[in-house]
Amino acid sequence: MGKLLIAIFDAVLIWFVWMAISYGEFVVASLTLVILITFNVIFLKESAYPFRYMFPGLICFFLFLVLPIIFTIYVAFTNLGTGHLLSDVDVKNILLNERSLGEGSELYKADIGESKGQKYIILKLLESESVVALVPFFFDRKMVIDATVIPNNDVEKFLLDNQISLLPKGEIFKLGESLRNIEIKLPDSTVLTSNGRATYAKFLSRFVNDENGNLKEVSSGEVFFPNYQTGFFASKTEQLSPGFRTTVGFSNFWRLFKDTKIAKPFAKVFTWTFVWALCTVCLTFVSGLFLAITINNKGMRFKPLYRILLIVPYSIPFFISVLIFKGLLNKDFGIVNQLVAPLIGGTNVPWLEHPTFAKISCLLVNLWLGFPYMLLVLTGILQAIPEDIYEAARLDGASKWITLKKITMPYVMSAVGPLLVGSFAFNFNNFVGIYLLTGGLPPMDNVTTPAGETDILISYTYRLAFEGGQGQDFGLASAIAILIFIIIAIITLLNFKFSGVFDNEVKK
Amino acid sequence: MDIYKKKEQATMLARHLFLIAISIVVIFPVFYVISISFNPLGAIGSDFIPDKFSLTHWKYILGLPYIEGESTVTNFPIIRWLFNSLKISFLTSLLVLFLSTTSAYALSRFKFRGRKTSLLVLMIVQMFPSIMALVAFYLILTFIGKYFPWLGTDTHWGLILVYLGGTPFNIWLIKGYFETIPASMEEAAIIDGCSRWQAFYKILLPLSVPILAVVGLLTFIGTFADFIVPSVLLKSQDQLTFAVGIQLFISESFSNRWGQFAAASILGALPIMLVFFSIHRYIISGLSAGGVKE
Repeated sequence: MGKLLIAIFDAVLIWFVWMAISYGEFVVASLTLVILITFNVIFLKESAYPFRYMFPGLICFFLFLVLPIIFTIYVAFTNLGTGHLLSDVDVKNILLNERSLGEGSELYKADIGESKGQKYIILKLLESESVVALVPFFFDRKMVIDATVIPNNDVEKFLLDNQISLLPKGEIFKLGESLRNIEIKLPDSTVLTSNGRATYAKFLSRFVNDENGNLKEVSSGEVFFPNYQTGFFASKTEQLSPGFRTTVGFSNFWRLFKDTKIAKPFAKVFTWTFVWALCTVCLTFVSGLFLAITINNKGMRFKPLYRILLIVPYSIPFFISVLIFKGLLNKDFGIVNQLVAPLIGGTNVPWLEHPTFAKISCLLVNLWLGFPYMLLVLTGILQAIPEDIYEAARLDGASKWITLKKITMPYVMSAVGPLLVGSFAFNFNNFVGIYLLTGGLPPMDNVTTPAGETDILISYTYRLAFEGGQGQDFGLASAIAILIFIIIAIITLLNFKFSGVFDNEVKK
Repeated sequence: MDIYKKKEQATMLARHLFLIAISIVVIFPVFYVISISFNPLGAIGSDFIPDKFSLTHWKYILGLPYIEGESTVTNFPIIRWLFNSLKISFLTSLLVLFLSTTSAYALSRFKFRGRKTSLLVLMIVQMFPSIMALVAFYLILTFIGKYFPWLGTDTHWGLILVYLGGTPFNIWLIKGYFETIPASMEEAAIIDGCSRWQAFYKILLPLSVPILAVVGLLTFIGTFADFIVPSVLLKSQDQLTFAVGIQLFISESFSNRWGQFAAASILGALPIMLVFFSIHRYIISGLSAGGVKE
């Protein structure tokens, strides 16, 4: 039975490798081949038995976590971003396809008709005559088609005779790009080409390939070389858009520290990220612990009720709560200001607009969101402390305060290390808590990058990468992502080193 | 003795007063939103107690005619978004549960070469901010979609695929719990003729229901609440998840749709809250058992 399943899975994978090769996707083919071999080793070799349980997890882990991470690391060393999205080969082809209208030439709009699977291109050349070219059904090869010229008056008759029906405008527009492949040769042997927008004209290429594979401008004779430092095709005086993607070494990382326009806001964002994560962890932990101890009292009534009430915030999806708070904290109409303003003399507090208040708001909202988690976990830890220890302490005459200090706290502290670090790491990257509330705003003064006073590293990075405005800079964003990763990794590993959790785990 | 008891009663009263006060502050936003959703005004700064009661916002988000005597309904398929989210979250948590339970079993019950490395790699990789791999996710899905359109961008299965990478943290949680269960029972079962696999799913899994519930629930909630990944990967309005859809809905016009947003928030939060509270006991025992070392 097991062998049969292995055989079936093998067959599927081999078929997949075959298909990938036939489509020319060699990376996918070799990846699948590696998976295939790993799979067979794991399921046929007895000593690899434990990996049979890990196989499905490992495959997904590799494809959807490790692979994207490797890609991100690669991007950090490139200039990938707006204006540098394509490879040098693609950009060269785009430039080679750039056409300009030849002197004295006109644009002719193309109609496309169809009859029995055969396509016709109809161009109206002059007031008196049109051109009809019969083209094959497939548009994927470059070809020159000889055209026939017929008087305009006869076009309708021609269409009727050959049972040609004209395609609607939308269809023609869709075919426009493939019309680039079809060139039409008139009887006087001038050749009309298309610019990809369903129009024909005597187009001239702006560039041609010269003998060294560089681009030569036809009109000026100037030669453009690919510059792999800047990612542009450039002559001595001019560079051509679009640029191409290329590896740029560590330049994205240097920019973070040397380019003052980027380095200054980056330092501020960096500091606030640490302050934010630390404060959030402290606030949520202290309040969670305080509440947990208060509730977890012998003889306390309504324990479950309090617990349920207090973990309600944790049960609501964060994006909903944060958006609601954005409304509650609205400066002019929000309910918070309606309650607070009369107490402080009628002024509306700019909860989300003023740098300091915005930071306080972020912290308070996140306290509301975060303390129930601490309460929940700490309650679990408190309940795990054996009751007889307390009993013994009481018999020895220890006061409540002493038992709290000598029994509860040491026990809690010994167990919460990983919890606190996990919480720190989470809040270090708590995108929703910042971005949905303030969007990182208010903007910083005297900076040119989209940096805000409440931006933490992750939201700053996101805005660099995905918010338009000044264009997307995937390279720089990935570089910051790697920095974040290194910081979090160091903190976590240090913690595990000191607490010894990991040593215990792996030594077993 | 009497004085001692009185003092005890006084502190208990103080505790209750304190907890009641805190509870009111914590719960206030929730009740306010409920009140807004029934307030025909539904403005951003409406009073806590509405003058009038109306269901117009609820009719609006449920796709019913919401203006008296007219048959206009909203263009926003809010119910569909909710359904999409529930479907994606459910499937994701099932698959993640399968992937991480089997891995955790291997890591907790076997001693083998590569175990230490696996644990280390899992630990390190989970620290990577996955938001920043979005570009990679997008390109990978675009590529897959070229050959399997139902798995590409703007599809639910493609989105689920991306979520399947998020197992490392769950593996750690489940592994921690497995280690609190003595292996002797499985060993006994194997001696009685069970296979390894049978011992795993007939003995260990039933004993691990609390942690499985916690992991499944956390994944469900996490997937439901995520909006960054779907906001990049999903495009067409009918495909959106609740998080992305409602984000779109409210960000277009914050003040005019406050009432409808309040109703939609409640509708979206309800299923999550229901699931959460039906098994929140497991969270306490499950999380602490994973975290506390004997």
